Amino acid sequence: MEGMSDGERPPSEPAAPAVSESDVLRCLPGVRAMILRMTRDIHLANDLAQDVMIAMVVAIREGRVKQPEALAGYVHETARHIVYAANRKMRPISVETLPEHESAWLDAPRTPLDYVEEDELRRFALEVLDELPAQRDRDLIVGFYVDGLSKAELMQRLSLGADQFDKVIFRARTRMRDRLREKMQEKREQVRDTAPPRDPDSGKSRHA
Amino acid sequence: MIEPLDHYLLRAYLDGEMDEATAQAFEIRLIERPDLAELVDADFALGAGLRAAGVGDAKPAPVANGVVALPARRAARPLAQAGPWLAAAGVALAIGLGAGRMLRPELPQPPALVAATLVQVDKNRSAPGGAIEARIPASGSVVLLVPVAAVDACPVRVEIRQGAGTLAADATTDSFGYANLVVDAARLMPGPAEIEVGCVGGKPAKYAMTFVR
Repeated sequence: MEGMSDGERPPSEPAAPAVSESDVLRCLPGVRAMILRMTRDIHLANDLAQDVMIAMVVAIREGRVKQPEALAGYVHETARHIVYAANRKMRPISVETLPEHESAWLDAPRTPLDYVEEDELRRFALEVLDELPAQRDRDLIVGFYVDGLSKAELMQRLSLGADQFDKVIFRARTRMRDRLREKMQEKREQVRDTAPPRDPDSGKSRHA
Repeated sequence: MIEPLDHYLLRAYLDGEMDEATAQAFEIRLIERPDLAELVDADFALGAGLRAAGVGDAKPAPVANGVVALPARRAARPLAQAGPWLAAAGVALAIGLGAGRMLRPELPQPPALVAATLVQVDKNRSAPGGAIEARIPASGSVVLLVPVAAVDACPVRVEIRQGAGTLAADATTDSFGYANLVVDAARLMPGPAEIEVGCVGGKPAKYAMTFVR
């Protein structure tokens, strides 16, 4: 080959990284958050997020995901289609199911929201509200999240600037996130303390 | 780590200040960033928790201020997973109906069942001036059918503005392209109102209405 001495091989191009099923499962928290935002229904969001993950895993197994760097975009488009289809169809969507015992599915990342019961959700929300230092801040949170008032209206009613408004909302969101994280950590520690020790080899042979 | 730009974008996304294209681009970022997704979850959890606790309202309500979005049909889980439960439920229902007919020729109306007034926002009797007019009862519930102008079904935001007050709810469109909502008739005042409806993140359509009693 021109430019090369005898015996040399052309430098081989690096193989394109393959998309794995665990790459897709890592997208689950973001997909669920996106669907939650679209549907405002935690149970529906969980169902549809699972459908998205299944559709993506099937696509990977069939070799339809060709550009690994565009995985997030592919997942996003799949999620949107599934949510819109769920809104339109009158009959159940036929989606393939995966065996529940597949280890990749068992290892799917869970988010803090997965660990919280409904009464705990109420309690955390009330705690976050009570921790706000001023009554005006509490009125803002209730007006925004419960009464559905717009930002502009609340700013006018409560004589708040945009920065002040954003700061209160930001504080409430991050405190709620922290509450949920603490609960997740607590639940994980309980599971770790009570679960029997697992055999690390899982019965797999050392010989190929 | 969440950078200031992430916080800025997240705030705009959660406050509905992004257009559709920007919101979709941010959603791709969400898929790549579980730490951002956690804050979206927390935002939802805060609202859901406060509404479930009945804060700011006499009764716990799923959506704000006396306006309840009627849920669109949900995609059911594959029937193979429902299994024996469906069969058992079917038998129980058949037995219940049969026994009811034998023991009581007329079933009393349950107290939870109340009449409602239907208002289809784009098809109501028009006043001579051209505004859409809707008759509302003095009490009870009003069911609003609001058309959603979208090629594909989408999550919808509906707002009813009267005077200084606004009622708002999120909804999903049914198979006919309508968002269906229930509102306490006492929350609607006779007089002009504006109903704004649109896909979340998109440009809304507006309907001018006059409520009359």
